[in-house]
Amino acid sequence: MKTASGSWGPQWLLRMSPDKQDTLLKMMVLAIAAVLSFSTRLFSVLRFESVIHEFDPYFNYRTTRFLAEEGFYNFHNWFDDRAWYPLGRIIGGTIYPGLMVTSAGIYHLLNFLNITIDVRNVCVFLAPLFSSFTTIVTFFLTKELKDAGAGLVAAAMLAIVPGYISRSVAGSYDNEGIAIFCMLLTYYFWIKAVKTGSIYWGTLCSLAYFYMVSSWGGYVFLINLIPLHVLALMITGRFSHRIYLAYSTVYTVGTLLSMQISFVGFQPVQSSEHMAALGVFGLCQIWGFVDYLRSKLSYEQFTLLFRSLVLLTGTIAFGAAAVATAMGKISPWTGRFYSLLDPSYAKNNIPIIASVSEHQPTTWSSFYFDLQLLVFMFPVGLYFCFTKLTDANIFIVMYGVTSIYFAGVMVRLMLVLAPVMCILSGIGVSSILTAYMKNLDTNRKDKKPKKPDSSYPLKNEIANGVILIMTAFLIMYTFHCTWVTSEAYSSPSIVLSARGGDGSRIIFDDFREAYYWLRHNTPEDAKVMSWWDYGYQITAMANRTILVDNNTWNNTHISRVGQAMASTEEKAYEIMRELDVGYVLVIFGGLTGYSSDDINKFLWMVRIGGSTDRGAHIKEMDYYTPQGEFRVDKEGSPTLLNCLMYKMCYYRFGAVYTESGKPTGYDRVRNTEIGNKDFELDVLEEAYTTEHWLVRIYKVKDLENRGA
Amino acid sequence: MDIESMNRYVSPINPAVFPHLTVVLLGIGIFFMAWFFVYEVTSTKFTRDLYKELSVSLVASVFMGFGVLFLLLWVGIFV
Repeated sequence: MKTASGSWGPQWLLRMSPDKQDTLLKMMVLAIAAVLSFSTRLFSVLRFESVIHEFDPYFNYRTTRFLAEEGFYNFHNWFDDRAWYPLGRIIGGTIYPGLMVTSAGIYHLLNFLNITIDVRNVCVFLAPLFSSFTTIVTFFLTKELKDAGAGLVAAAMLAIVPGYISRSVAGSYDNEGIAIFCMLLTYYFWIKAVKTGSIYWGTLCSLAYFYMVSSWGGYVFLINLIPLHVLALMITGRFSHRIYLAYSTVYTVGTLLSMQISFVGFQPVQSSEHMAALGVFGLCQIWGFVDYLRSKLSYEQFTLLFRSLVLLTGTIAFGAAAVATAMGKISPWTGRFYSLLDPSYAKNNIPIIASVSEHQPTTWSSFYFDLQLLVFMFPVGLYFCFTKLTDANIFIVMYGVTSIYFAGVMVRLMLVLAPVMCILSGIGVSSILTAYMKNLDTNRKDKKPKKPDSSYPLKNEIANGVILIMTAFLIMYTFHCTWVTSEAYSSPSIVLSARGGDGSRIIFDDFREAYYWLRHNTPEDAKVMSWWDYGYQITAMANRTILVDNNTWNNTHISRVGQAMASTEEKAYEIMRELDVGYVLVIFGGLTGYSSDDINKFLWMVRIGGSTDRGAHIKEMDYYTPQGEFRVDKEGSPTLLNCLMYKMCYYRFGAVYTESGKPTGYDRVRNTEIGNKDFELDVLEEAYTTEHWLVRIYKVKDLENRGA
Repeated sequence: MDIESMNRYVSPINPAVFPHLTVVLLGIGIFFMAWFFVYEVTSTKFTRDLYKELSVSLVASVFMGFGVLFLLLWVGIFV
């Protein structure tokens, strides 16, 4: 074997056999794409620090820390009495443990090798790591659907697509970070199983499905998409023994494994969301049996048997399903998933689901902002899939169409759309480039000018033009994605920054300042009341008991807190004594101009507070002016100007100058001077206000020493 | 053992050199690793040579190992 000690440089590269060049190129592109997907998610770590972002990730971080310190059995049986006081929360049974187990596993492995990385850093960097893995899995998946070229384009596009980056940036330690990887892995194994019909791939698919179920509630999408695919194959007449084998393996093993997660429990056989999978499984068995009979019986015997059996089984199955639903054995669709089918359901019935900004329908501009070029190449990819329809292509077409619908209904599900957009656009771009590259005239030495094809004038020029335009599109896509990642999706939310008048950077670290004040200056068993947004952060950083948090599982309890915030001091004091509240925390943005503060969220507190019977005296119209406006100045409604939330936010604010040329007490978010300025608090006393007045903490006064 | 009599720990390699060492060692390591992978993917049962495989992979793993060590030290994970 000749060793490569002789020729170096570009000649050596060209002297390699095409096979080796091909492999080297593929490996290089994939490696660069994987490294790119990791590095593009690091903006906030470089600009601020390695810190967990937002709200939900703090809960995941706290549970991961608990798992890493206490071990799996304590984690699985954990009853948390520091949240939802006085109810508590069964954490072991109400979370998807995949994320925490993955992080704790990586943490223990690294520490075993004496690479001492802290749990927090493992959590911060887990999502970028898994996005690298996702890039690689996308390559393999698209390779199965089309070819390696399309796979490389799809992988490169997925590395930087903003729709996926938004939920997997470094610091965003949430379920979606690993869920997308698990989802694409499951789909890859499913496609392999469908193509080969072997139990091996089917079982691998079930194991990947188990990992998916353990990581995200969105697994319901998978367990409905795969049966839908099988159904589509049946309808188009492509059902064969391979699909039968693949689906039977995946459904049985996958469902059994998915029921091992305590949160899922027996839902796969009881809830309507899983019934489609069961139905298609039954249909598969019937179809397989029918095919078997057809091969054994004569024609007349077969048709008679077939018709009578179909009638019989049809009526039995339908009757059974109807009886089971009527008796309540099969539960109807849960609120969160039902609102995907009927978007107006949440708005009319469950204000908590309607109030979350991630659950709103997606705007047109969001699609372009998150996907840019992919929006246009998606139909092109669909077209190329239809030109060469295979079993696998039908799957990706269905995945694309269903996820477009769901992404349109809820903006959070844009995340599920991003990978399929990348795959189909990859197929589209690759097909276009391959088609036009063939037309290129590559005679450099002009020895034999190619005879111009009379039926296709300007073949070479058009090919050059199309390839140039496509390259320009891809370059613009890259610039757009990097700009969006840098400007829109890299803010930690817990640390804010702004440019001062002289261009210097001002950091607002008020949230952590307030939480650490709580941690060091309040008794261990103090209960803190705040709106549910901040619950997870308070338990994770301040380590104090809270009343309501982001899990929002108990609407009545949240409604009680809403009533306390929206009532006058006396009525609120009754509620606070009833719930043993020691401290109250509010977010106020009037001094800095921070617009996501509690006054802007106040109307939701009113709506949720008034939605249960004990809050029937709270009516939203009372908080508006007679003209129907929500104002905090002198024209504002007196109910609003005297409620607890108003008083807590604007206590002593009336004496502060916020902007030059404006009177004291000028609220920089609502852009008016506040109405109720000089008042004293009766039942609270101010405990702490942070540097920029962003977080204000009040202590609830004890009962009077002598009775009234 | 009181803390005053102990000597302050000084790294045997100047920390300012960590980035350069990382890039050089990892670069060479990745080159050999790519060579090894391409060789494995494109060779058949008959053309494969054990000694070539072993030597390339040995060199690759040595350089990658040290490269990763200096990468960790450069990033701040002091192993």
